[in-house]
Amino acid sequence: MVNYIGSKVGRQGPPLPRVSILSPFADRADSTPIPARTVQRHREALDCSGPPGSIMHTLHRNIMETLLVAASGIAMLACAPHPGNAGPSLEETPALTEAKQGAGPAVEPASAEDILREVRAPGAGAVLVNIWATWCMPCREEFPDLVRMRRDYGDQGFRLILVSADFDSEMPEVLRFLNEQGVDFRTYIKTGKDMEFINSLHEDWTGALPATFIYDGEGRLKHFWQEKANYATFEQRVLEVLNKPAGTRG
Amino acid sequence: MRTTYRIGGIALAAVLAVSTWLSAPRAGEQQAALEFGARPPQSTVKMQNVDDKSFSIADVAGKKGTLVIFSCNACPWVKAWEDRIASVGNAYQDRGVGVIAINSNDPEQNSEDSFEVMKQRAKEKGFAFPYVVDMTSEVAAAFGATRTPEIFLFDGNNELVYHGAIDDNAKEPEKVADEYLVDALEAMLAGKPIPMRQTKAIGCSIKFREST
Repeated sequence: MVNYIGSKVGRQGPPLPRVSILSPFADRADSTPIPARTVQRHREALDCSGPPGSIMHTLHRNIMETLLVAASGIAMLACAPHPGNAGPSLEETPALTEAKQGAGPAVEPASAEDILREVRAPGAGAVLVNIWATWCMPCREEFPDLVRMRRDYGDQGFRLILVSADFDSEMPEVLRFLNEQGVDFRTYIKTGKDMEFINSLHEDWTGALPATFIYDGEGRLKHFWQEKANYATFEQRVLEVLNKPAGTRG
Repeated sequence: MRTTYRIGGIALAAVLAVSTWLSAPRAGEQQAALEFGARPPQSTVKMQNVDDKSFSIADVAGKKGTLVIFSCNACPWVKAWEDRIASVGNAYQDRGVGVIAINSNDPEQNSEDSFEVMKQRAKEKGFAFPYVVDMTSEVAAAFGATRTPEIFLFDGNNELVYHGAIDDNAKEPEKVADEYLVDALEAMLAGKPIPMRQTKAIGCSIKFREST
């Protein structure tokens, strides 16, 4: 495995543990409150990327948001998140340690299985996986809000996993962008065949970017959408999964 | 009494209007992807081609099938596959399959997706098939298309038989292991079942226009 920290260097430390995952969503049936298809269908209503601005648009959005929040609330009663308190986290991995020492952002090749292993690593109450690429404008636009989310909620059980879908040849641009965004923690670049990667993360994901997945502390998918969002949307959905009221930052 | 009816009528009309508005598909809102067996939606919508003529999907439909490619100019995934889009499109058009590439992206979001660049690209890549503009993005929305490039293949009965990617390796054509689209086209022309009718690949999201 190659670890990219400013430049290609051999990965430091012991190999990362591997967990065999037969089905990434094997336990989803009884725990996922909002069917992804429903989220997807309402994605435009929830997305804040567009400025249509009409009263009707706002009304539509409000209705859909209310429905979704209500559905999530009901689901959370049945399935409270579990902010873990033990085990290794991303903060303790060798790659990040090196990054903190000033080597710049660390970018590690990862399969969907690797990503899901990080999702399920203990220690987080909410995990957001974002698949992005340097050439993807909506991805670049929402990126600062994701980094800000980590800054604001990283110490409250929120884990951010950024996965670049760039071609390997774009690595210099990936690193340049991560540096520019102030990313000093380990991130990933997708490896392997597209279809397997896509379907392992979600069967409803068409492969369009950006794609965002929010899991609870036990690795159960709570939200999925394939479109740009903004800070308010990220915050609302992450707090929902963390089971915290809005405005509890810091 | 009449006033009551009138107010009631207005209220009813308002409720109907709101509910119609809430359920109506709008440009920019993703529909579920077209089901297998479905016919191409919005097939009579005329779209401007790079030769300044206009074509609908129905205009290009072939007796043996129709290949609809949602594409654009700016997306690196399109660029990576573009030579294959040209060669496959041209080859199967010669074999009686209607071919059309559609750009549904809003050029306001990226000037590289403009009509002028489409003209240059079609010429440069030697597209022998129409490369047209979906001016409202509504054709892509009706298909439930979400990314570029994204393929919809209809058979001679005009029914969807294949949906997805071109092959399994955008970046390295020499390392392609599964030629999804070519395999589907060959199976379709031979009257055989499509080996893998639904495939996926990473791609750029379609930049839908906000409203029409």
